[in-house]
Amino acid sequence: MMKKILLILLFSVTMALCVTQGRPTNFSFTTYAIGSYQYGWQHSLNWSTMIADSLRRSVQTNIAFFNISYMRRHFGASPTTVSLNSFENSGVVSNNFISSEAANYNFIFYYGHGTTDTLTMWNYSGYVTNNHVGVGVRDTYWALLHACLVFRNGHSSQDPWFDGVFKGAHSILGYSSSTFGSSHVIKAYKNFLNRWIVLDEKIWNAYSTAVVNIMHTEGGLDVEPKIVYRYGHVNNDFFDPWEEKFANAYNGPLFSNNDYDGIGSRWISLGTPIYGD
Amino acid sequence: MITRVGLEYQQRNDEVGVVGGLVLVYQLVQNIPVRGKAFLTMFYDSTSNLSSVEYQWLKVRTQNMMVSSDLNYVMDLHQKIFEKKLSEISESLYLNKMSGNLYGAVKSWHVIESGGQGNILQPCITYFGKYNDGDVVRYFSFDVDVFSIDKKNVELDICSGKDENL
Repeated sequence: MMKKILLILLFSVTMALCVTQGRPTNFSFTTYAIGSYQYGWQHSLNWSTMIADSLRRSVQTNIAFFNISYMRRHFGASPTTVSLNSFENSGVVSNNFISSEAANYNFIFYYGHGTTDTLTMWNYSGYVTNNHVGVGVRDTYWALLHACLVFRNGHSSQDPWFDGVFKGAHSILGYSSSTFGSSHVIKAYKNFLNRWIVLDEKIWNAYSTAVVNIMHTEGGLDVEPKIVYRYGHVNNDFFDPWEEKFANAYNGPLFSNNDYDGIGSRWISLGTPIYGD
Repeated sequence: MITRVGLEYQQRNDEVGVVGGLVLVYQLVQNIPVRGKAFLTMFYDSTSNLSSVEYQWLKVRTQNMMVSSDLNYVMDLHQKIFEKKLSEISESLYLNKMSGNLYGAVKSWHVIESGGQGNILQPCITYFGKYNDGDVVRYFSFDVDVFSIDKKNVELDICSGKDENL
């Protein structure tokens, strides 16, 4: 009898330590967008709030399409619900970026100026850096940072983000180069959401393909899309976060206790263009 | 016409390796490249096997259109848009303490999606240049319309799709 109880206890503890895998049943998505900075301490960004607004609408639309498809295959299942939030201009300060409330947002989109290992905040000389102390383990699993050079190859240090500001995050999307400065970037990000949420693509494939396509068709500055992450074993299975799909995501923080095998990243670099005449 | 070749890199701890590649192809209409929704992208895995293809390809039909015959107006407008776009690129580079230069231009088509009237191929010039991003040379490009001065335009349909695991 005692043995049985111990086995049940052991099983319960093991199950409690497991991170469940599947579609998020509630997907919370938040945008941080800076159009103009306090006292103009950084140059204005014309499209930031419009892009953030459009992305939130796109999340709602894509989750609706996802639900139709999911519920058709899983009759009687409840739909994935969406929580949306936004911070604009004076709301984009470190207290709103690193807070117990922000820790609950599953996906964070940031649009502002950046430099190596650093995001700017709205307030004068306000920064969030890779070695900023965070709020502990959070339920932010993914982030897309539209900011120049944050993950610059050969100069940046990605691992501290996963110990501080984004403790527990699965992967962070961004750039190793400068970024697009025009409105057409919205087409790329909406396409990314559609690919990842509805078309069931891996998060890195969805993001990198959407960004490369927009560069090819719309022109502008060349950019280098990049994903950074920790990899290791989850529930005894090897997990490379660049492969994570929305419909089969891990619903919990990962690799926050030095329980990872290594740090990884992927990026795409394009060669010399040839146009001919 | 193959315009770009790219490589996908992966870093694991301190080791960097190539894990894939892609080839970008522009559609040619009357031997002129089309910018916008007309392209083909082939993705390769680390063993050079084709893993997926993305494309949007245009069916083209030639049609005469009314155009401006005021060449001065056309040139003036082109110049203004060129300067505006160059200024936007310059500002982006300046903000990141980078510098660059234009080094070429080619004739091209620009797809204009015009709703019920179908899509239009607008003659334009694609300008391209390069800039220094630290120790890396990167490229940029932008299109400026020439406002139908060659008196011919085309109407087109778009077909698109994606094939995986070929």
